[in-house]
This record gives sequence, C-alpha cells and structure tokens, in this order.
Amino acid sequence: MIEIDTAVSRTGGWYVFLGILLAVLLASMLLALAIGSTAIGPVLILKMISSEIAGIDKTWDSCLETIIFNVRMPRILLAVFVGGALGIAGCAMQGIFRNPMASPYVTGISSGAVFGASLIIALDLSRALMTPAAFIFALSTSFLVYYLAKVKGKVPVGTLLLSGIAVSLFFSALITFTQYIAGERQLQEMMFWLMGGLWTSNWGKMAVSVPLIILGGGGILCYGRDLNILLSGEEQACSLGVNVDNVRKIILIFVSIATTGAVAFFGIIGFVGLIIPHIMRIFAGPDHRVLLPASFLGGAIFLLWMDTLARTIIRPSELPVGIITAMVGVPFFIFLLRKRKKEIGF
Amino acid sequence: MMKWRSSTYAAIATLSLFVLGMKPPADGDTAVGKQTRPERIVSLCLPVTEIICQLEMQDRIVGICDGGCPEKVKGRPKVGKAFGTLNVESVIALKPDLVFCWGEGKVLREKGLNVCSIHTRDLDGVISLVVEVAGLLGEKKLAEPVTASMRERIAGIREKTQSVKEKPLVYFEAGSLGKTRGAGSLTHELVEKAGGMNLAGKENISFPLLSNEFIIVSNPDIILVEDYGESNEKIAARSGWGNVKAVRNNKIFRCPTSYTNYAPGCLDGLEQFSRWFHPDLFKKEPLPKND
Repeated sequence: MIEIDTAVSRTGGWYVFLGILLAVLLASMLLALAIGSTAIGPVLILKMISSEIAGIDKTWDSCLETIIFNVRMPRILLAVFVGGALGIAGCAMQGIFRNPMASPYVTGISSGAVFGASLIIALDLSRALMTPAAFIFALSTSFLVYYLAKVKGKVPVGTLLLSGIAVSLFFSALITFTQYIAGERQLQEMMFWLMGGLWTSNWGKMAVSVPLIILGGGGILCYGRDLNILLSGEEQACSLGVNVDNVRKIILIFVSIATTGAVAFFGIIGFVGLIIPHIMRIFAGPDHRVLLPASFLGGAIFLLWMDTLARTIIRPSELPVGIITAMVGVPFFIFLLRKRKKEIGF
Repeated sequence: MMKWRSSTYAAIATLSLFVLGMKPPADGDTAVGKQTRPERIVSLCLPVTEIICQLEMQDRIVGICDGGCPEKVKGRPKVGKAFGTLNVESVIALKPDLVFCWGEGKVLREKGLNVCSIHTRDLDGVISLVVEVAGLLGEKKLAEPVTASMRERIAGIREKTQSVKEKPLVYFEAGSLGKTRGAGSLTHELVEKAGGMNLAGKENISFPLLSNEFIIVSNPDIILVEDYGESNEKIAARSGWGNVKAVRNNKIFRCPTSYTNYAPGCLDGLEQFSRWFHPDLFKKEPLPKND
C-alpha cells in the first residue's frame, strides 16, 4: 500500500479539511439564497421556510415565495451539483491521465455531450432523448480522445491536449452545423439552451441531473485509491495488481456520466474542472481519497458564487455564468500557479 | 480499504434514494387563467414592445429585454436577452400578469407566469400579431385601424408591382459578407413583394451564408445593407465587387433594422424597397413622410 505523505493526510486532518469545505458550502448556499436581483431579507426567507414546515400564516407576497422556492433554491442546488461534478470529473481526469491539463472541457467531453443534445433539438426528436444522446457522445468522445492520445500505454500532456483540442473543435464545428441546418423554431430553442447557464434551472431538471452526478461522482470517489496508485506509475500499479487500462476506462465512464449530468441541461461551463482540482491540490495534497471529495466541494462553492455573481452583477438583467467563471477563475488560477509553482503535483 | 469503498457505495445509495424520493413542487406547465385586461406586461420581444407602443398602451409595460427599445419605454427595467440569458427572478419580481417571449418560454411558464409565445415569421404573421397583442391586452378594437391600414399599404404595393416584368436581383446583407436571408424569412417575403428577386430565394434555410464568389457571379442589381453593417464605400471597394451592377450603378441602400423586424414598421421597409427597386413606378408620388 502506498501511503502518500501530505500535510493533510499526515496529521489525519483530512476530515477537518473536508469538514471546513462542507461548512463553507452550506453557509454559501444559505447566503446565496438571500442574495438576488430582488431584495428579500434573510428573516423573511426563514419565515417562508418555517411556514412550509410549520404552517405559519403567510403575510408576504406569493411572488417572493416563487422566487425563493422555484427560482433560487433549484438554481443554488444545481450550481452546487454541476460545479461539484465538473470539479470531481476534472480531478479524476487529471489523475488517470497523470496530466495537469486534463478536464472535461479541455478534452472535448463537454463539447461532445453538448453536440449530442443539440443534435436532438436540430432533428426535432423527443426532448427526453437529450440526456441519453448527450451521454453517448460524452462517452464516445472520452474514449476517442483516450485512444488518440495514448502512446505506448501512457498519455503525454502534448498528445492529450492536441487530440482533446482537435476533437473539441470538431464537435464545436458540428454544433455550429446543427445550428445551421436547424429550422427557425429549433434554432430559437437551441440558442436558449446553448447559451446555457443555470438560469433555466428547475426542479424537473434537478431530478435528472442530480442522480447522474451522484452516480458519476460517487463512482469516481470509489476509485480514489486506484488513482493514487496510478500516480506512482504504470509499473508500480501493475505490481500492485491494478489493471491500469481497465481502471482508466471505468473512471472515464463515470467521468462521462458526471459530465453529462452537468452539461446536458446547462451547456458548456468552462474552467471549473481545470482550475478547482489544482487549487484543491495545493491545500489537500495529491491523495485522491481527499482530493476527489475536496474537488467536488470546491467546484460546488466556486460555481455557486460565480452563478450568484452572474445573476446579480448587472441586475435586473443577467450575465452568462461562463463569462464569469473564466474572468474570475483564470486570473486566480494564474496567481496561485505563480505563487506556488513548485507545490503543485505532477 | 474495502471498508472505505463499501461505505462510499452505501452513501451513494442513500443519497440517490433521497434525491429520487424527493417530491419536486408542482411547477410544471401550470395553466394560469388568462386575465381579461393585463396591466403589468413584460415584453421580451421587440416587435411586441413596438406594437404595444404603437397602440399607445406603453404605460402597461413594466419590463423589456436588453438592447434597443422604442423611445416611449426607455428606462423601463431590462430583464435579460430576448434570445439567451434571462433573469427569471427579475421577471417574477416585476409581478407581470402577461409575458411575451420568443419560443416556448418554458422557463417562465413553469414558474407559474402567464406567457404568450411569439412565433411570427411572415407578413401575415405580423398582422395577426397586432390583432393578438391588442386582443390579449383587452383592446381588440385598437387593432382594427392599424391592420386595415397595413392591409391597404400591402395591397397598394401589390397593385404597383404585380405587373412589373423586370425584377431586379437583390442581395440583402445582414451584418457581414454573405450573411443573408433565405426563403421562409420575412425579409425574403418583403423583397419579393416589393417586386424584387431575392438572391438567396432558393436557399431553404432562413439565415443562409452565401459565398463571395456566388454573389459576384450572380451580379445583383441592388444591394441592401443592414444599417449596422459595413459602409457603402467599403462594400464597393471589396475586391471583385467593382463590376457588380449594384456597385457600378451606385445602388447600395441602407436599411434600418426596423425595415425587416416583425412589427408594422416592416411596411416602411416594403414601401421603401419597392421605391428602390422600381423608381419609375413612383415618379409621380412624393416620398413617404417617414423617410
């Protein structure tokens, strides 16, 4: 058994670290519930929630209740799960490829999933097929990129990036093509959907998206130990009885499931999956048993705050969240990279 | 180590049960009874905003979409893009009793709002849009003079252009080189009704992209440019365009976006187009006052 020596795992403080992240996440969720383009005081929100449970007389406008329960709540929960899914998927991909540039966005899995879903709209098929189509394309993209990038059992940074970018651009082109052939009505629907962002959140989407994310994310979590062994190199892994190729494929399947859950309804939200694992690695070290849940929680906190910004910064209107994740995330990432260059793994 | 894995499996199982068992509040396509006279209107549809202003009911508009808007509703809260990111919370907070939007508007319907979906795509559609908007606002009668004058203006143009034998070939440029409007678009209909031949009339998609070569070879007689596009000088200076008839004869005309928008203002476009296409037919008449 390989023991990875990090500040967190050495002191046995990993549960403290995860506990702090969880506490920050829960506090952020409560705060985000009280922030929005409409001013609704925290006391009133508490009253509304308790009236749902205890049945206090309602003295407030019912539109405020719609905003809290049907607009902000599903949106906050989805931001948490989508951000978490992208964070943990990015972390797992960086682990299996031993490659700091891997993420669902960079390797084209997101574009694949989005293409699958937009194809369904362009062909005007039943919208229930959107998630399965997104999943099929996410999965095939991830395997395609894996095989394209693999050189003698290894996945070098260069080939992964190149094949990822090639496949991603190919799917972006296909997405544009589906827009070109779509009828006016389908085009309108696609525009609404492709621009994505979490503003279309509702409880129905949550019922599909969240189980997928839990399945994918949970599956990835089970492979924390195997990811640790992969980090120590192929030979080491083989001698410990790990079938490297198989583990990679299984994790890719879970990554595709989680990514589908994240992008099938909300379009591409970039940078979360790339940046969050790196930031978490600085704090938690390279042990994937801590790093994976930390990336989930970190991604959740990050996307939640970015989305809260998106819906308040130019109120009463709203910005697409992808702009903010890039504008805030990238400088922060570069700052961390420059400051602690040596401490990032790999 | 096995312990860790099995406990994670257990956690996933519990969580999935929790999520699957969660009862989402009923927020499906709630049918909200249509009110007879909505007083608070959010219009995410510029043509509808224009129609409401034209019917002098702009006081009832409480929210509009990002981008340009008629003078009469300047300063009203803008709650998001007509196509794209929308601040759903802001829309709800305006407490609208009617929301106009392009497409299905599912995001708004499921929040319990009373939504009117707009799918207008041709000239007849614009006329019925005026009737529909006025009807929904409880002022059906106000639509009558507007639609009557619209029909009259369309008939007037038809009368003038139906007998013309030589139809000029028209290339409409929407923003940048090659971007144009094909069959099935309102612009195509306006160009054809004004007695022109749309260069992209055989394209079956609404927003085709024509190649530079095709445009030069087709040699259009007239070029219509959306106002925000490249200047006439730059278009004339494009390589290979010097010999295009429209450039040689200085027949490059600028169209404000209102000319091809799905609002009654598109009739100004129709009339102006036919004057540009067939100046001889209008020799005796003064220019329209809106020009």
